[in-house]
Amino acid sequence: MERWALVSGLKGDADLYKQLQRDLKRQRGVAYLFLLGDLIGPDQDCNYLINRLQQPKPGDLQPHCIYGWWEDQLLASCGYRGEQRAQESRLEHGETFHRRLKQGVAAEHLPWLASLQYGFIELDCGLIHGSSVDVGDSLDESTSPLLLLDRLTRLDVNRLFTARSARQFRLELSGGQITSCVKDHSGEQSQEHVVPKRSVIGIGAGSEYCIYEPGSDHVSFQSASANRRHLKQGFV
Amino acid sequence: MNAFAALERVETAGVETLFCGHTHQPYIRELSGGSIQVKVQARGMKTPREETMTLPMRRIVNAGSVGEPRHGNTKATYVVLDPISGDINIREVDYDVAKTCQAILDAGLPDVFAWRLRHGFEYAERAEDASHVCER
Repeated sequence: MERWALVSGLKGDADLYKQLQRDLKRQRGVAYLFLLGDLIGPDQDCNYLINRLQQPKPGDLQPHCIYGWWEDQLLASCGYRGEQRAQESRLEHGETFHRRLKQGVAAEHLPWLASLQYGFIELDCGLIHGSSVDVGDSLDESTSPLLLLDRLTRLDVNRLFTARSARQFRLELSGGQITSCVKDHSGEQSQEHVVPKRSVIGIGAGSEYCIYEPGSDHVSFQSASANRRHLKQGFV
Repeated sequence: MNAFAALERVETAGVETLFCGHTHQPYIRELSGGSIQVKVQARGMKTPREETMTLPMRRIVNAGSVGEPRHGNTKATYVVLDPISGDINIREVDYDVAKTCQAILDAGLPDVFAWRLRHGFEYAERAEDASHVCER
């Protein structure tokens, strides 16, 4: 059965990407690779990875990329986001990090990064770095279920795959209801609304990624580095 | 609007009652008796955790409008809050609509402005841009 691999937070690490490609070859039935942003980061020269993503090596699973928080910050600081000027990364990480981020990506790659989409809708799933509200929206298993339901409702999807928090989790809305009573000039109406069965899935970051099987709705959390250790130790 | 999404807007604003406008349609919406059940699985957890979140009672109130009515009649609307009891009432006020419509026409404004005021809703097909669709 066809499966998807969902990865985020490579942050320019080409060796990690090669390791992930090797790991995915060992996974059965992985037909699609989605990279949910943070392809670049301030700690690496990102150019080799960006080249490989644009021109995959023979045998690579074709990557489908969207932009993440770090791409958004870089593009903002390079004038691709109107008046925005990447204040968030400056405040969060400081000027030095920000300078290193710019130094790690050649100007020739900016148009490709700027062409990346905010997210994908595949079947009834939303694939986004942050959420339907913002690329920097950090959702995890402790986020209010009401807020998660809002993020799902805004996109009108049954499953939202997110990466910003770097956490691996699945939070399933399994039940619940609310009464809505509206009074206006025509009278009063009361309605019961039930919570739809929907999920938010955190895919992890870096070597930790997620495999999703749309046919069975099964999610499994993987670690490329752990899988590699097991291989060396003869567990697989 | 979806009731849960509406409740999230009130919660995000950090208030018990959210007053708004924009749609020109006055209403008082009370969201109550809510709960959400969740099942959480995270990497490293042996068994999923199940929880129930009880949702607070919240209200959204639209004040309507005193001009450009879109609630189906010609009256101007506003709301009154009693901060002690928490009661909220929608008030409707009659006025000389015909006189205002005549003033609109005399001022050389588009006919549709007067038409809309006299009927209490926006009739998109009468707008100058026939492709205009009024969403609310």
